[in-house]
Amino acid sequence: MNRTKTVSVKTTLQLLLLALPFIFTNTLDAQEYVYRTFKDTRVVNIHSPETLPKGRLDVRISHRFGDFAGDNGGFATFYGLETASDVSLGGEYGFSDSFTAGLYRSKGAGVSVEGFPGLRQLLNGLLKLRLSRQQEGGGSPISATLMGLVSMSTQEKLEGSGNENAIASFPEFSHRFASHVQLILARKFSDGFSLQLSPGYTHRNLVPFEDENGMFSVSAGARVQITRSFGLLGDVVLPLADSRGSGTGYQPAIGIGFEFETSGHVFQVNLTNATALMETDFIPYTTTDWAEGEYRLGFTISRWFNL
Amino acid sequence: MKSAQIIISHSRFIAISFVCTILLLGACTSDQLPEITAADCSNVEATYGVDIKPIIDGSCAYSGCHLDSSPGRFDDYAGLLPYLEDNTFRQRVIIEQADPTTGMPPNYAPEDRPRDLSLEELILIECWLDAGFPE
Repeated sequence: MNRTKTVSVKTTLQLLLLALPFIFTNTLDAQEYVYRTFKDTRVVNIHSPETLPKGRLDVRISHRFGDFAGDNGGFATFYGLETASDVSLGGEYGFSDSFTAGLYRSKGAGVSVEGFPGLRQLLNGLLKLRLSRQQEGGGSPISATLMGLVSMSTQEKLEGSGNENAIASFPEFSHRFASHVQLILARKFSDGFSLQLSPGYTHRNLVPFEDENGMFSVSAGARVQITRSFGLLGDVVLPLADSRGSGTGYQPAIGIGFEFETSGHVFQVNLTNATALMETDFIPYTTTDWAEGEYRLGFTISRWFNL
Repeated sequence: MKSAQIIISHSRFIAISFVCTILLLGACTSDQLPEITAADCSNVEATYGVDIKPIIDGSCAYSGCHLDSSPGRFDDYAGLLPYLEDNTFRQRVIIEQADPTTGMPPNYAPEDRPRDLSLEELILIECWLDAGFPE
């Protein structure tokens, strides 16, 4: 019964992903648009619906420290500040107001429940396409954006006996890749509150024994504006896979944070149980648990340049 | 009106192409790694003093690493023991060995030091840990 229900949810999400381009492109020429549903292109872990304005380059540095508490945290690592779980450096560019492309380098940090590493030393290509923008006065009630991410590991291939169980054994070149596509539906309810829901699909070309290559997920994010330049953020990502259910050792990625916005800059500080920064990494590979103190401090610095 | 239709048609084309491109890239292969098998320790009787200390002295307990810089002093059994008891040693040496930075020894070790342990060394260490890390 549960399996039938899961299949039904998966089918619905798949149809939704494929159908929404048809629905939302009908409203692109309407007026009275709502801008800046979120102030940044990310919430905490996940992408927001925002794309960059045409001709704008966004250079981003993101960092996730080690566990704040639990077995690997506490004073021994000064609450995770002396260890880094993931680091990302890169940028994205607005080719039009509706289309953004980016390239990031990240260390990679996700692990399986057995503790084995996922993909490491990643090059991440990002595409974002705005399908519709929320309008006031009878237009589209929500904003919709498609986000796609392809990650490729540049790690040296591990050869020889003893490495058969390592992802980095890369029996085929395609095993270096994982990808993620996500539809982001968001609404700015007021100047002080925005909410988004995002069905997504993640595919890893090579997975540990008895794991799933493809998995659907659903995520939610929210932003509350406190002052003109200060906002609170939160998001959660829930993989919809039997192998990621309760009791499997895998955890949903949950993040909370706040962000300061100044002219051309966004600075975000957050706490999250996700060790990794890219969707291809933290959606299938989050095993760290808030309840065990396995959350970490993180930050993102974003700087816009006009090109 | 006609130009609006062209824009809508163009946008649809881009959106559909976008979804298909990402899904196609993601659907290259769907493969699994083989089942994990434990090391065969039936003929291995490793002890710290005879078998393990030489590996650790050469790969971990040198200046700039787990002797005077990184956490832990690994040049004797007492210094190593806390990391054996809390399973950190097994996690970083055996389970995370494929990780270039957290797997020990790491890929950023000095050029004159090992950056990977051999299969024989890994089997010795795993069997020694399984046997309760005898001194």
